[in-house]
Amino acid sequence: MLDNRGSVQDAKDVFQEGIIIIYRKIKDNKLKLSSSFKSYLYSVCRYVWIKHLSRQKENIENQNIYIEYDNIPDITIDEYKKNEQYKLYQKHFKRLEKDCQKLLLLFLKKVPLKDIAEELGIGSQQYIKRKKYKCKEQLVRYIKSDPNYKEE
Amino acid sequence: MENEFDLIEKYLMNEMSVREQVEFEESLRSDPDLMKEFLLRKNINDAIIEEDVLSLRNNLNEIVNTEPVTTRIIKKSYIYSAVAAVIILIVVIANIYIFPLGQMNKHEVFQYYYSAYPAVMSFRSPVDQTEIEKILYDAFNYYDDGKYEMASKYFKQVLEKDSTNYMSQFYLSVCEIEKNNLSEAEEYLNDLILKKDHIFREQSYWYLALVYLKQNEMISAENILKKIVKENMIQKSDAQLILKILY
Repeated sequence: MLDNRGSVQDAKDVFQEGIIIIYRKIKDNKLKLSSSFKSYLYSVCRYVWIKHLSRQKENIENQNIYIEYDNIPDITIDEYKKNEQYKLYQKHFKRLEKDCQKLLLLFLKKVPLKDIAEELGIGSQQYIKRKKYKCKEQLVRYIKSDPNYKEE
Repeated sequence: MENEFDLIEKYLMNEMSVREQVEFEESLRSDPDLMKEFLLRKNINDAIIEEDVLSLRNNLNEIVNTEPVTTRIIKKSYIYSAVAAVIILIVVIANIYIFPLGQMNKHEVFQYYYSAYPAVMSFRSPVDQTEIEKILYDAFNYYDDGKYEMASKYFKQVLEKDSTNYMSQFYLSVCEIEKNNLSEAEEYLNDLILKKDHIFREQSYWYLALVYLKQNEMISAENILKKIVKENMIQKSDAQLILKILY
């Protein structure tokens, strides 16, 4: 990567995303290692880097060099896209106030309203519903205004 | 559009009546913009509830960003220690978040819980059998032998003669699952759960939930499983466990 216009930060980012993609595969019981973990991690990171380059038009030349790489790991385009999407959503979720993050998670975990009220020390269940709505809308606004957000 | 956002959120939080759900799903099918917004909001929910990944991402951030970088080349020893740290992290997080939930994904859940419903029909001697009983006799023989293609042909014949023979319709749906014709199975089962007075109603809910799981229709599967729990059906405890594992 460093020899192909990548920065140290790019290397760190790609390494992280490679690990997360592999982690999701483990979680879904889809990981089948036919080589050592180190080689697999390397091939996944390389794949992530190729995909990253392919999004940058100015790097088409570099991309062609990488595309010849014959050891493509078993990462589907959907797994890659999902990782990119979720990374964006999770990044903006972390931007929300702590209360908002907690409230959205409690709703998603289907915690009853009265328990959410207790947990957050809020008396009115109506207020909780309104707050949850505002938090979610704020999150959607953050995401839609991100330059990396793409409508599918 | 704001009203539509409300509807999407209500649907995602399972706060709609069955009728509202059906109407909403119809709107989703006919309105591509609404579908886009729905998918965005659904994926956001799926992403932010991934607490394990969020935590892994935070830990990775700490690992890769606290290491001082003094040269342009990443040292091999740095890579090895980072890989080792990450493997340990994965194992720890997997233990915390995955193993207590039984380590199953939806396909394994389907494999674990699904089996063709046993043939439970007793027959009179052939001379006393009605025309429908004769067809059913053949149908169940094929069914028992695992010849689902032939069995479904005979169950269909029964239904042509008597559209209220819910037993045939139920076994036909199982044949379709066995033949991997899941949308057909889904159609027969959905029809069966609407008809209240027959003994295969609860089984129909159960098989429908399994069909949805296999089709990866997680929201529909969740709704049916919740119905099984709420109405205290025979498979209540299995449904509760699946809800716990997958949602």
